[in-house]
Amino acid sequence: METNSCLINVKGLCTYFYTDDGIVKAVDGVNLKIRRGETLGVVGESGCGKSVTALSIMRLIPAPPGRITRGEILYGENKEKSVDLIRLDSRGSKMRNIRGGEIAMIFQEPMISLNPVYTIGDQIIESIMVHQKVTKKEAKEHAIKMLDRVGISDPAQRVDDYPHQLSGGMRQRAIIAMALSCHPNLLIADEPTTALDVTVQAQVLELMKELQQEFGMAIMMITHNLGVIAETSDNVAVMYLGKIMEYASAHDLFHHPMHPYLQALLKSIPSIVGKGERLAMIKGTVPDPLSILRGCLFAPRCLEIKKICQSEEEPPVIEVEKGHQVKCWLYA
Amino acid sequence: MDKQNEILLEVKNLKKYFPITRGVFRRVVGYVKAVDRVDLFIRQGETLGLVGESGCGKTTLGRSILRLIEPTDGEVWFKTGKGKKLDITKLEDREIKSLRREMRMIFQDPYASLNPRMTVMDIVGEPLIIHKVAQGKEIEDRVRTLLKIVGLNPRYMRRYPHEFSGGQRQRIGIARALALNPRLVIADEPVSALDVSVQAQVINLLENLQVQFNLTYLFIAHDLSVVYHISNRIAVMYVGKIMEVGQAEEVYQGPRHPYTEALMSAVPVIDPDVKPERILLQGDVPNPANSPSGCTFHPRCRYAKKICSQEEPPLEDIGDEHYVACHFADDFSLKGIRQF
Repeated sequence: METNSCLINVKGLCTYFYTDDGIVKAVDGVNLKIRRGETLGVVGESGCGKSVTALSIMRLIPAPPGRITRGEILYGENKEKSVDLIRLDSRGSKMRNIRGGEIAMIFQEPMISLNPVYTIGDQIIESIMVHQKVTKKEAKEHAIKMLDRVGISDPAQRVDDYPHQLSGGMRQRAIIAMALSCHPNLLIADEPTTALDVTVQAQVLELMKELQQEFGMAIMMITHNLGVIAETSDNVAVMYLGKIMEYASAHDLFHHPMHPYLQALLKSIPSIVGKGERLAMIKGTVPDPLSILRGCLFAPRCLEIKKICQSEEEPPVIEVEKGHQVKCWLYA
Repeated sequence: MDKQNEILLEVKNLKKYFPITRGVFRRVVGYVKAVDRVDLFIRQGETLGLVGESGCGKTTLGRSILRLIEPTDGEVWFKTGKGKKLDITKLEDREIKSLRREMRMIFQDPYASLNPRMTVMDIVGEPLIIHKVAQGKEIEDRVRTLLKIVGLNPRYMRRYPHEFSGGQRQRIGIARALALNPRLVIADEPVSALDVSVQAQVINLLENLQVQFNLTYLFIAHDLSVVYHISNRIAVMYVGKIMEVGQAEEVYQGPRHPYTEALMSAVPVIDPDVKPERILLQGDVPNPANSPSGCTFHPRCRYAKKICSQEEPPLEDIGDEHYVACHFADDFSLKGIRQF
């Protein structure tokens, strides 16, 4: 994997929140690479830092209390032209052009991420006119074309509908249309199907796959649903308490899970195959992010704990196979 | 589950229509048919899973059975602990109160369903006070036992809900539901708000409690794998109506209703090398205020014929207590889960 072939290369990213109760290390030393046309899945339980990673790339971390304290987010395939997004002014024109124009994001809750007092057309037109030099009429035509492309029937009529007039699935389609209206290089999808029913989820995932092939964009798919990850992702990063525990191709990750956390997680999902069997459990819960843990963060819940796991030394990241990294003492 | 087991709950022709009103005089212009002529039964000691997409009426059905909302029409027969069969819909308020000891509910959102100003002791002990089954010191002892049963440390009984995690709160909700030794528990999306690792803990707990206390569950959820895991029988609901009911394995592996088939094909497969063949349903779930004529599923059904838009298919037993509401239940060979 050469650095210059990556569309986005996150190196050692640390995003901390300085709250009254203490420092929350929401993202703590994350490394990620996404190439053009590729889908990276980021999976983890709530509070693992997957959304904060996405918001850090978008430079949308609310400050204060949040701050990116360390790391680099190199954006751009060409090594000379690539920019470190962290060095840009988050309110500056350069970042604002990238945000929404070159890197777009779709959010989990389709009702909250649309403004209820504007029509969906207005909202798509706004994003087009911010990033492209077009007239309002052209922007509207483009908006209608995008709505048609994401499978909203009768788009010329629907463009004047308000969000409440659309169903959940339709709203998420409208949001996808908005995000893709400027042909971004990278689409960050934060739990795009979590609020949707399985049948609608299947429709939306299918649509995203089609559009990815059409536009050749990269996708960062953030979800807690391992099934969605398995269906969409080329590579997968498994996060736990702000750190990446395992990073591998989707095939390796699901066929040879290495980290005890991922192994336990996969066993704890009710499967259609093993009906009647007891579900494997991970003991305890995800620790409070304010608690200060040293060494391996998963050690208190781990079943394969060794002596070294309880030490204060952080487990190293080990490349067990080419492209398959795991952060665990078992493989050291 | 044995077919010999006696029927604990039988729902007959249950309806819940919410009126749509317009204008100053609140004139009724139509009805949202949230639950429309539902027939169901649950045997003693079994788990009946109820699945369907959001807005299909699962929750309304669950609540109508308990009369947390008044059903519009229909009968709900419940066999009490004393062996009497009662129609819940006809009971007076006082009678329903005593019956509610035997039928409890577990709610979806462990954050919204617990009163933030009450301690765990108050929350779990409240049903004991309301139904006058314990007093003073007894309440504390009973709460202590209940917390142990659901796997919480009784030391925490003076704490408030915000001091607990999502999974622990759901355990508090379960302890409260169990406080009066119920026989039927209606669990409405009890694990949907929980993380995967915690979800497994709660599912295992519910299974343990079922064996320990001989509980009967109506388990409502939209996660098809979770429902399959926990249920003996499964009912599939669509726009207020039951489309198919049968043994879990039969419904999932050999569905007889095209809607069940489409639902099964949409479940994500946790294997990146398997590329499932999807039946992508066209359009959206119809509005229950204006549901299609004939079979409610016909506009999205890929097998629909002329009769489907004209006549509503009844829910019929096609053998071995497998009920299907489709005109062509015997004609198609549909694919079940993991056969795509």
